[in-house]
Amino acid sequence: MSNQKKRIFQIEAFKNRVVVDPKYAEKTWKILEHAIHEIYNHNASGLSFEELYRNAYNMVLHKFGEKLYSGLVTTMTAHLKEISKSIEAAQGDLFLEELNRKWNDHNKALQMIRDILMYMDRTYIPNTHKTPVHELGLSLWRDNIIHSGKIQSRLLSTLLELVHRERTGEVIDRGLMRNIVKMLMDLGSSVYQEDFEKPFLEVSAEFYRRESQKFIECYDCGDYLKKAEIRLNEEIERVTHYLDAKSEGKITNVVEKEMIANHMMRLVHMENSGLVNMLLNDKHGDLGRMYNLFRRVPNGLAMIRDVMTSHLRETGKQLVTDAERLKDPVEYVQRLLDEKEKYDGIISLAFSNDKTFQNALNSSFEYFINLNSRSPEFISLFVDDKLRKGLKGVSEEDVEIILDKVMMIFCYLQEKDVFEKYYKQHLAKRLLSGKTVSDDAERSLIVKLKTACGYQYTSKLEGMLTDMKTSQDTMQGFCSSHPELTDGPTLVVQVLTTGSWPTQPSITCHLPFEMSALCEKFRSYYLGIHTGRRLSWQTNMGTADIKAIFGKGQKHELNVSTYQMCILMLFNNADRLSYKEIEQVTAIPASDLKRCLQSMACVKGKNVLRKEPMSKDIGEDDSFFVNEKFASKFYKVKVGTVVAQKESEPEKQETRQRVEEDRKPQIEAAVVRIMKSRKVLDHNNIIAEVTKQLQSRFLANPTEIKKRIESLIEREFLERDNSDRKMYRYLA
Amino acid sequence: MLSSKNSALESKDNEIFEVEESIAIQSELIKTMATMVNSKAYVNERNQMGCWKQANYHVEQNNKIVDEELSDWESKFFEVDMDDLHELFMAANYLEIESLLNGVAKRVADIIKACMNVEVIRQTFGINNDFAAQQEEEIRKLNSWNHI
Repeated sequence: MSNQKKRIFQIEAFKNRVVVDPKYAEKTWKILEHAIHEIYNHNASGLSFEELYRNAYNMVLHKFGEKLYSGLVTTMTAHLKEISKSIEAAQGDLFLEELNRKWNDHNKALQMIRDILMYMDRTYIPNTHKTPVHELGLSLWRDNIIHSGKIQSRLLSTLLELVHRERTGEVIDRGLMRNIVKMLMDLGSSVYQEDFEKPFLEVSAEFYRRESQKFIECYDCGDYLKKAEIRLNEEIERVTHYLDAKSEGKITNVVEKEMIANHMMRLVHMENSGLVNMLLNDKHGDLGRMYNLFRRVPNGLAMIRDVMTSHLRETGKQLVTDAERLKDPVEYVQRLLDEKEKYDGIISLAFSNDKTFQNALNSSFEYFINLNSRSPEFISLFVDDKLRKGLKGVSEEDVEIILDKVMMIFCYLQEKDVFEKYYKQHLAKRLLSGKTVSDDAERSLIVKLKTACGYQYTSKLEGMLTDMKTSQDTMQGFCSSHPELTDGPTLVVQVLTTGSWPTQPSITCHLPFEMSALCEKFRSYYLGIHTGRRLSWQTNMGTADIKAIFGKGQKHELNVSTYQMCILMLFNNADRLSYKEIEQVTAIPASDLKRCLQSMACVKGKNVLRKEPMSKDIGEDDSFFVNEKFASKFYKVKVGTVVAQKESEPEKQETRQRVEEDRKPQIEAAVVRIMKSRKVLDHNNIIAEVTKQLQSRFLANPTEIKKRIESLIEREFLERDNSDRKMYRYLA
Repeated sequence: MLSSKNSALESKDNEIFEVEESIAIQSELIKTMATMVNSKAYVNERNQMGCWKQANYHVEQNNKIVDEELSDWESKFFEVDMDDLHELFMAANYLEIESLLNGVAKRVADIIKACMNVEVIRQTFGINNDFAAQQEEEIRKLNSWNHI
């Protein structure tokens, strides 16, 4: 206080000094001791708080704090010893109730005592670093009651007994349990842990060990998991009702370990009900439960994943190597799609879209799809089937869905260039025979392929579609500029760009007069519009519709190939023709000619020609007549259309060879690209880089890469380093 | 229970004071007692200090007066002789009224500061010299820089 005015103080000694009666301390303490007794005997109402407070205050003030404190300890201890005896005397179930009641009493008493001794609590105790009154009360309770020989073990066994009873289905007094447990927690976390939690966890472990042993013998996997889940939830509920929240993690660990971790292997591999069985039967509920439970234990999910992967690989391998199934490519691919859908369902519904499982699924599919080297071809055939007729009448969204599913399978292919080759062939056949169900669907699929593999992959395919469109426009132009051609045979021309289409060079056969005149007209028209181009007729790819009248006047419209048309037109001017004659006039290549004649003379229902002799094969000396007796239910008869089939062995070899040939320049291009940017690189790295670059098209063979590198060295694109044989250098 | 706005407090010499509740609660002790729902006996207090009145007055004034005037008023209030100061001190300690306790402590500190040396302090507060001559000599040497 900054007081400016100086005062002269009156200095006088104290007049009153507080006189201390020697017996003062004893007298005061007796009052307080009596009060404590009364409090414990539930007689507190007759006491005056202020008086007691004042007495305690005075004792402390006059330096008798020590006496007060030790007196408190003695008195309280004495009372607690009596209380201990009364608790010990309680019989059976009343034990806990008695303990609870006495605990509540003690707490109330402690509160009152602390209020009375508040001054000591605030001044004497901090100064002397003694235990505050409230804490003192708790530790005295702990030492004299909880840790008393007779009570300690009895308390623990009673609590554990109750828990056990509840686990076996009895209803227990949860409120009482909660109070007792709370008491232990109030006495300190070490009391709770040592006097209850640790033994509780041990006993629980033993209980669940026994129970899981029993269950595993008599329940199947699904039921066992249900039981385990129930027990787990029970324990969690138990904790929320009457245990310390910190115990939750510990007890769930116990259950997880005993019921799940210890039996994981056996559960997964259980006959007729284990993981494999669940996967086969789409038991989503059981699978989901297994996932949730196994997720809690170390390596649980890894185990599920491994078993699923090996099962999937096994079934997949069987799928792709099953001889029966290989006969029908469409069925083969459909089965793959079904399998993928099934597992997608399982992962999303039961395994909550876990990414690691998705990855396991992908790697398994990639593994077994590529086990069968015909997979690319079959997938293309599947798509071909869909685009020809399978998607007829299907809505646009559904078309997209199906194509997307096929794309997913496509992405698993390692040899995407093989697929490209087949797809081109099949697409050409579809387009030229006009058999595609929907132009939009074709385009949509090509777009998807472009997204997956890049522009280069699909540029030729797009070219093919464009050609078809352009041809339509050209035809319109041709027809409108030659109006006189409405009578007589009609010509429909498709102009194909050579590089885009998988055409094989062929010898043009001799067309009948009616046709060749028409063709010339078209040629001059076209070349008039597009100078500098060359046209060549692909007679091995065309079709024709012919109207025919047979012996008894049957009229039919025949749909045949161009070759067949040439052959049939000959019979307008002759009744009988020998093989050699036909061959000479038409100039059709021998193997094709034989096949055409075979399909027209030897196939039941399509035998528009008659052959002598009536053998199955075509011989060089055979002669042919028109089959006057030809009969068919239909007006329009299709004879031997060119349809995409599974390749025969030699055809397959040929395609594969062509694929291998195509790969060589691609590998070389990749090597040159890499070396140009890196300048110097060693052998292993080149292999790795090249493989990575070509990954989206095919799996490159290291031996092949090495060969290509040798070839490039010969052609002086690269050189070997003089000192290190494994290093290569780029030569500009 | 302090049921009305004013509470009745009985002092040791059986004087009854009507005190406003908000003021009475300045005393920690009374506040504690007020929370005891149980016995009326607790509430009928007996104060050992006759200076309860003064203590109360101080608190009242504290609550009414604005700060600037406070220090003036306080210095006047505390200009009492040692006995009264002592009583005030004890009352404040017992009833646990912090503001009063601080005020008295300040006053005592000022008195000590104003004293010239140890002897004067001893005389003022009536403290006996219980040092042995040798001890005192030692302490003076150690603290010579303090000018006691």
